[in-house]
Amino acid sequence: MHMIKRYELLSCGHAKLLLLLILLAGTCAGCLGQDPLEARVENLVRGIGDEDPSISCASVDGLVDIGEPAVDSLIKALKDEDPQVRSLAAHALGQMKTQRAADPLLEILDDHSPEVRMNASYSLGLIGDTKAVEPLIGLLEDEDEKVFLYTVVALGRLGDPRAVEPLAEILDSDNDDLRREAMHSLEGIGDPRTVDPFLDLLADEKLGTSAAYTLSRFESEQVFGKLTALLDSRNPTTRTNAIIALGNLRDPAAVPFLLEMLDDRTPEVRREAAFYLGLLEPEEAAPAEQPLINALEDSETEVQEAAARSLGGIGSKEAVPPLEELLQDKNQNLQVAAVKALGEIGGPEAFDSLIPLLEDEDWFVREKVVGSLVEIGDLRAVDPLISLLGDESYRVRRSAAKGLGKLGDERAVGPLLMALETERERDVRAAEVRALGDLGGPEAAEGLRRISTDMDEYRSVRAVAEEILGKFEDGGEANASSSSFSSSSS
Amino acid sequence: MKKDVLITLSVSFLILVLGLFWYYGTGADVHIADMTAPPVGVGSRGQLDIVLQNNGSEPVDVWLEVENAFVDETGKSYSTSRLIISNESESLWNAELVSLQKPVKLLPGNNSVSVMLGYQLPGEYEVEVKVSEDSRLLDKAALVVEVPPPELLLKLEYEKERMETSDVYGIFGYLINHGLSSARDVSTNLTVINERTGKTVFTSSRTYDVRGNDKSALWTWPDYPYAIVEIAHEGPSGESYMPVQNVVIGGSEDRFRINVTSTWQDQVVSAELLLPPEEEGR
Repeated sequence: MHMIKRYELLSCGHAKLLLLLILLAGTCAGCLGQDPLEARVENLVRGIGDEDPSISCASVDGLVDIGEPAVDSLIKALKDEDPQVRSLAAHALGQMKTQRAADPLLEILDDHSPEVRMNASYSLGLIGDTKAVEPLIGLLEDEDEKVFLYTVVALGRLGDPRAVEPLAEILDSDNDDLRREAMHSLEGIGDPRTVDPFLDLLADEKLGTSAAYTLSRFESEQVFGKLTALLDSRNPTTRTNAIIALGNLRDPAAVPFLLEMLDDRTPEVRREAAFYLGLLEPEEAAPAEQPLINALEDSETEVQEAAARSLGGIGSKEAVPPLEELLQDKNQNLQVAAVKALGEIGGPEAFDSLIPLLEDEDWFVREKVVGSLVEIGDLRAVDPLISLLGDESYRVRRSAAKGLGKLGDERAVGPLLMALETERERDVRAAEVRALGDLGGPEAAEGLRRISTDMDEYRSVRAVAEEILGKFEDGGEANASSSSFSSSSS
Repeated sequence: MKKDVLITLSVSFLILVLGLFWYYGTGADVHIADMTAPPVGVGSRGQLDIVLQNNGSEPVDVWLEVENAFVDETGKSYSTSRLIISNESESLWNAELVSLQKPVKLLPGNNSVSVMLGYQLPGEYEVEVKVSEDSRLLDKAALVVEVPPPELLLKLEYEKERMETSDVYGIFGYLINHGLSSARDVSTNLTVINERTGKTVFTSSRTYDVRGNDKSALWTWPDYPYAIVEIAHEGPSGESYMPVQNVVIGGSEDRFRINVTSTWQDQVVSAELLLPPEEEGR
């Protein structure tokens, strides 16, 4: 054996020094040359395992922000010993919606931690790779309720028709949350095979209405016949929800069926029929007019109310006299429905019948009357509305101010400025300022300028004034009035 | 041995010089050309605008670190985590937000970026911006951001109404803030003193929030006053005045001093009313 003697070592002094320098340089290069992005990713991946949820969540956000350069580290983290790291890594990969993560996520669908399976499943839904469909259908056998729920959501996001049958089976479950999610997922898939399960759901007290809205999103020919058949159901919930679905189809062919249901024995059914008849286009509504007027005398207030609103919706002039009678009804909902309807129908007769109700002792009625008078657009409303700027209820004052702006009569500028001298409520002041903006003119502009520079004014009111003045300057129309209504009487 | 030591020292010095040159001298030619930040209110979202000048002919990826961008209510400082890349939009909410977890790409020439700022305490804060490429510091600069305190004042007014044999004074009040900063949890006390007896007859307390350059009404319910003083000339009206809670009832011989005092940190402001007012006589 050859022994290296001390002097030989010393004689290699320069080599030793060189070696030391190389090591030092290597270490420095290693430290300084490390990609800072890589270093951050490593730190953040470590952070997702932190006990402090604020740190782990912030780490996930950071990794999601980094995006693609963090994917490999996150995929690696799916095999970490700590279930929290695996779970949050799965979550982050889903947020990033990176296709590369699909296979690794599929591999952990059998992880022993429910949190990991849940996040993997949900993330697969976010990523949207349809190869996950079958494995996720398999996961519907999972015993953990959250895993099950998130898998249902994921299948809905994937939108693959293969999931229709397994999801439809869940509609029979005892768990309402699961049924609701299954319904939403099926709705997202939109497969025609979901029609029948949804029709069955119409009888359901909890999910029936949602099912009705979902059914109305299908093509009419796919569901129309089946829905009309259900109008003969013995179950009033089924009939009510069938009407909701039919009504939302907006198919004129539904009119005769809806009219027939105005005579149904159940008030809810009659109410829904009356309501959906009001959504018809005016040219389709002629056959509904008289039956709806008849429904104003229904024994149930809720049906009368729906009929009144619908008559307003279709603009029935014939309905004005019976609606005027309802203005005196003791039931406030009915009274207000008539007020609204008369506003929509319009005309001098409706206007004249509404004016006395501005004296009603209930602010709610007065407020609705103001809305209807403004909708009619008769400038005879200007003076009564100016008086209402001093109403005891801020809601009425606010409505009056808005209405004066919409009516566009410059006579209101002075009274609005005067009201701003004393008005204390912020929302009313903002409405008055907006009305001045609608009316325009030099006097209004001057008032707005004053408000926009008043540092004792509510900030939001000042901001509205500034915004309007900015528009005036842009449009160069401080003198313009925005009146778009015509007067039926002066 | 002496020669070895000399060589070792020389080489070490050389490495040190090279290291310093590498750290400070060989990076991209990027400088902070300008930084501006208007005063920001407490609790408001501020913005630091930075102009970064890339004097090279190629785009450069740089890291930005902004110290003291956020300070919480305990005075603890945080560096910013997000950055706004300026675009056509003037609204912060529509601006493109990017993460400082990633480098920022600077095109040749001037590049504008904006950093979000936020402070929960008034004061002056030195915000330091460091620009680095990989681990090399390219430039750093600091700017003092001013966070002025709120400027509070109180305003009281009243409305008189005759109710049968009583005069009813409805008192309305505002907590006004002429400063840029918002003031949260402003403790506000109402004290009513009977001037005839010198005794305090009513007190109540509540806290209010008021944003910068804004005002908050002291009353709780729309259309109902903050407080009511009833001067009953024959007997109390028996009116409950609900939902108004601050109610004082006196007789013809009484006059009440209504004092409202608001306190926020070291600021104390107050306002007073005398009801019935002296000009009304007794």
